[in-house]
Amino acid sequence: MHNDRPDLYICTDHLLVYSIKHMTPSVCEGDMMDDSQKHRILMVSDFFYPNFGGVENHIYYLSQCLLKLGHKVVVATHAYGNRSGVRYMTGGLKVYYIPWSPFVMQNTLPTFYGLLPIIRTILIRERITVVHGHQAFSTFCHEALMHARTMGYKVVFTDHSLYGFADVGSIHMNKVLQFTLADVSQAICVSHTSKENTVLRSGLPPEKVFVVPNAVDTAIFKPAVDRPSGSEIVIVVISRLVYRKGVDLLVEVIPEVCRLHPNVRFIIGGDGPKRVRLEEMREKHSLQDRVEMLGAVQHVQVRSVLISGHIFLNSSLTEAFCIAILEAASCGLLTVSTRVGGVPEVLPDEMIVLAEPDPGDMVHAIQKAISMLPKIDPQAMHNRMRELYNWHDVAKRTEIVYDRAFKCSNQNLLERLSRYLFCGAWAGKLFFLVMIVGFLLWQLLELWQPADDIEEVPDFTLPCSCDEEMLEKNSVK
Amino acid sequence: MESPHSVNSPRRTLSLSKKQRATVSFFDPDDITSGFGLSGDHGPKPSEVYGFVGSITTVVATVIFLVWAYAPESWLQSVGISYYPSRYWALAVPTYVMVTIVLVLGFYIGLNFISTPSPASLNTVFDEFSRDPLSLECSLEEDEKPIEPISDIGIGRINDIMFNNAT
Repeated sequence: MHNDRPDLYICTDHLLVYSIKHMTPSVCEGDMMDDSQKHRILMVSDFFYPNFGGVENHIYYLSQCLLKLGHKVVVATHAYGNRSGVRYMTGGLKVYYIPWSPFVMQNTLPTFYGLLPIIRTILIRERITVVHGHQAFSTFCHEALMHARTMGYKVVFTDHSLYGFADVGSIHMNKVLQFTLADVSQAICVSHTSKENTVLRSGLPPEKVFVVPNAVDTAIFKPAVDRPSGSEIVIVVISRLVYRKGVDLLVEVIPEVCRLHPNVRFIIGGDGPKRVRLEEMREKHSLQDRVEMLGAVQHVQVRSVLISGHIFLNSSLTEAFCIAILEAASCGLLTVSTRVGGVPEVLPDEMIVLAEPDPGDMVHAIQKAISMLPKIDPQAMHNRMRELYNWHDVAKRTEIVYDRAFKCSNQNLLERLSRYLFCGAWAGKLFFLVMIVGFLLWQLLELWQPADDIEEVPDFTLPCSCDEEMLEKNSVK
Repeated sequence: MESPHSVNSPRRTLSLSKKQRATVSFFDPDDITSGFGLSGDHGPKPSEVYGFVGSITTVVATVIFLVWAYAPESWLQSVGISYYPSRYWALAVPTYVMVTIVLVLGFYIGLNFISTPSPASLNTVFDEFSRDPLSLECSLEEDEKPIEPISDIGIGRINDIMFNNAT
C-alpha cells in the first residue's frame, strides 16, 4: 500500500507534465497561466445519442463536465430517424439534430459544401468560439471543421481511433485527415500511441497534439459490496464480437484455459458477426456449462455483468485507448489484455497483465492473473481509478487545450492556403481549390444572409437537479 | 528487432509506447508449449503489400490512361499499338462520372430537405428516443455523485426558463 503512492504520482504527472511541456514554449511571458475564459463550444460528430459507443459517451460526459465548469456547450450531429431538430438534454446541453441523412455506418455522405449554410447559422446563433470535432471517421466532423476554419473560428479535433497505413481505406482516410487537420488549431488524442499514430497519418506538428485520456464515471462503476466468493473463478469478456476485438483469439484461448483450470468459468457479453465462432467453440469443446453467452449488453447493465466476475479479459487487436478496461478496473476486476495500441498506457502494472496478441501468451497471462487474484483488493483498485481517471479532470485538461487554441494567432486566407499546398503534389492543389471555393461560397452567404440578420439565441442557466426535484414536488402539491 | 505487431511506417519516429514494461515472467511447469504453433515473423504484412501494389498500379494505370487519351495516333502506330478502345470513352467516362457525382450530391441535399420535419411537426420536440430525467436521489452526503445519465428536458420547461425567468 505504501508503495502505491509513487506510482500514482508518476502516472498522473507523466500525462500532465507531458501536456504542460508542450504548452509552455508558446505561452507569452505576459500571459497569466490561470487566464481561463469561458468558452462557447460546439461539439461536432456523426456519433451521438441515441447511438451508443465510446465516442458518444466521450462527447456527452465531456460536455456535462464543461457545462459544470461554466462553459456553454452545444452539440451538432445528424438526425437519427425521427429525432430531428433541436433538443435540450441533461444539464442544459443543447443538441442540433441536423436533418442530414446517414449514408453508411451512421456517417453522412461527403458533400464538401452541403453543410456550410447550416453550420454557419449555428455558429452565429450560438455565438460559438471553439469548434470541437470528434472522430476521424466522421464526415460531418470533417466538413464542419473545414467550414469553421474558413470562417475563422478556433478548431480543436479529438481522434478516438487508430488507423493503419497500408490498406486502401486507411490510405484515403489519412489523406482526408491530412486535409482537414492541415489548418486545425489544436488536436487531442486519447493516448500517446494514438498521438503518434495521428501525427504520422496527418502530418500534424507534434507540438499541436495534446494527450488527454478517456475517463470513466467511477460513481457508476463501483465494486460489488460482496465479491463473488468460492473456489470458482469467473472471467468476464464484454466487447463487440468483431474481428478487430480479437474474437479469433478468444476462440483459441478459452478452451485452453478451461482445460488447464477446471474451476474457471467465462461470461461473454456482446454481439456481432463473430458470435457464431464462439458458439461453435462451445459446441466443439463441450463447454456449454462453463462459457456463458449473454448476447448484447446494454450500457446500463455492464456494471452488473462486471461485478459478477473476478478477471476482465480484453483481446482487442487494435485500441487507441480502451474504456472497457477502465470500467472493469473501476469495478475492481483484474484485467488481462493484449499489448496493442494505447492499452499499455492505461493502467498501472499491478492492475493489468499484458500479453502479446497470441493465444499462447494470453493463456500465460491469464494464469498469472489467476495467481495474482488473492492479493487484489477491489475497493482499493476502485479508489485508485477514481483518482487516475476522472471526467472532471479530462474537462480541465480540455479547457487548457481550448485556452491554448485561443492563444494561437489568427491567420489570413493566404497563410492558410499555403498549408494546403504542402499536403501533396496533386492533392495539395485539389485541397487548395476546395478551400478557395469554400471561401467564395462563404462570402456569397455573407451577401445573401448577413451575419447581423441572424438572430442570436438567448442564454439561460438551468437550475440544478435538486431544485428541479423540489419544483416537481411543489407542483405535485 | 522491432516488435512484430508495432505499426510500421516509412517515417520513423520515437515511439513513447515502446518503453519496455515488465514482461510476463510467469512460467507454469505443467504448461504444454507444443499446444500452440509459433507463428514466425516472415516478411511484411499482407496489407502492406496490398498498399504498395495498389500504389504502383494506380500510377501505371494513370500513365496508360493519359497515353491513350492524349498521344497522337501516329505515335501509337509507330510503337506497334494498333488496337485500343475508342478515344471517345476517354472523354465520355470522366464526364459521366463527374455528372453522376454532381447529381448524387444534388439528389442527396434534396433528399435531406424532403426529410426535414415541418416546424409544426411533433418530431421537432419529441420522438421515440426521448427519455425523461430519472428521479435522482439528491443526497449531498454521498462522496461522489455520478454524472447524470442522458435525458431530455421538455420544451415547456426550457421555455419557462428562457423566457419567463423561472428558477
